Amino acid sequence: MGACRKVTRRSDLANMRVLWAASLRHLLRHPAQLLLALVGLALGVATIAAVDMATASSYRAFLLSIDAVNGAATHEIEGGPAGIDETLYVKLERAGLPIDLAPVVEGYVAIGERTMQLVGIDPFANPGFRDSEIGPGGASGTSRVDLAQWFIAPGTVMMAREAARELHLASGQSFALTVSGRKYQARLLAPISARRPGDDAVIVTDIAQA
Amino acid sequence: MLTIRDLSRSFREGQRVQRVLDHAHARIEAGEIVAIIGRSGSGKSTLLNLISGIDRPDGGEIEFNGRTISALGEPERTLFRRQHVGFVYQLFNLIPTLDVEENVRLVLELNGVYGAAARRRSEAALAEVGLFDRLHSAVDVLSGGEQQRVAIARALVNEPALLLADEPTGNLDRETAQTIVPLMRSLARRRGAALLIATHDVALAHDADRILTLADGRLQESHAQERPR
Repeated sequence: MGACRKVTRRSDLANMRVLWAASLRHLLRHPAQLLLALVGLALGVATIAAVDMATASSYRAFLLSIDAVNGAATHEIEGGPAGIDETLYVKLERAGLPIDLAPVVEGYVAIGERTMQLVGIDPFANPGFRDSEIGPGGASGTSRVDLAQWFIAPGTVMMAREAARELHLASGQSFALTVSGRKYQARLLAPISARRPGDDAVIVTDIAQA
Repeated sequence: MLTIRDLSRSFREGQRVQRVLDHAHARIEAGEIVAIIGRSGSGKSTLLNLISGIDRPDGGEIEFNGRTISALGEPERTLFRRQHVGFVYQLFNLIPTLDVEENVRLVLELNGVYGAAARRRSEAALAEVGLFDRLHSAVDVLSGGEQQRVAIARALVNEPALLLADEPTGNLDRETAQTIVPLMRSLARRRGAALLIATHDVALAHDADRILTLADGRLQESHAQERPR
């Protein structure tokens, strides 16, 4: 049949009433088979649509979280699997561009059974973070937290209050997280308010630690 | 018209290689009726599959009206088969969801003949095999002999130059079988088509112009005194 398809024009297929009748009657003679085929098709389409929607939704949530931490970006330079040469950031900073530059490191971490998006930021370079909802000047209450700890205590992270509650973590508490199969010790500096969908899936740390 | 040169085909069964055709030669002229006889498993069906382009040989070539079929790609061989070859099988291979006339008409539609013209030709082909009164019967209510006559009408409706029959009476009782080969012979003669009948039943080869015996992978002409009586 493969070869027949190659040597039959589409317009010919439309004229082949007998061929269509043979296929249609076969389906009508086997209603259970037809029903199962339709159910199979419907399930397949539904699965693909659901996976697509879940992926799009989680990606959108992630973008919103990045915006919440970083401020909205006007331009982005993305690295591939090998990342970006760190000297590029230095060169761009020294180039005197009329835009603010903020480096971000992204990855995934596992805390127990939960997978979260790790975002490593440079608070000095990132004006968006300073003024963001979860930055020290934001409304989340982190301004009362000693941000010196952010820089000097290794493994210091922040995460949304909802996520911390689900993970049974309190301010100052240490916990284990896994990155690419390797375990690290982290410490929650302070829970922060999640304002947007997806904020509770993000864990923020200093770029030097990420 | 049809020339077979040095034709070879083997099949692998585990570690063993079964050589079914071993440098076989034959020449068949237009309008000739040729019986290919040989015991079961001697390679008769393989030979017909190679001639029709369903299968490809390991070596050698098949030439049909100056065109080397064995060198063609799959789509070209499909077109060749569709346009120039009619095939009659032992088990009829009719489509059960189509009626008698539709089974025959399908071949015409696949060859680009549609509508009333296709219907006229399929009805005429069925009239030739004596089934005009069964045009719209379901094929599974027909007897074995009637189903094989539908298969013959289907094989001939596109006026092929080559009609291949693989054990066409193998699924029929002797009385019915005796009517099928003369019917194919007369219809092929009327159209000037070459007819190759593969059978293990030497009695059926009586009506052929020539008999080729397939043994040990080679085709040998049977001489008049060796022909079955």
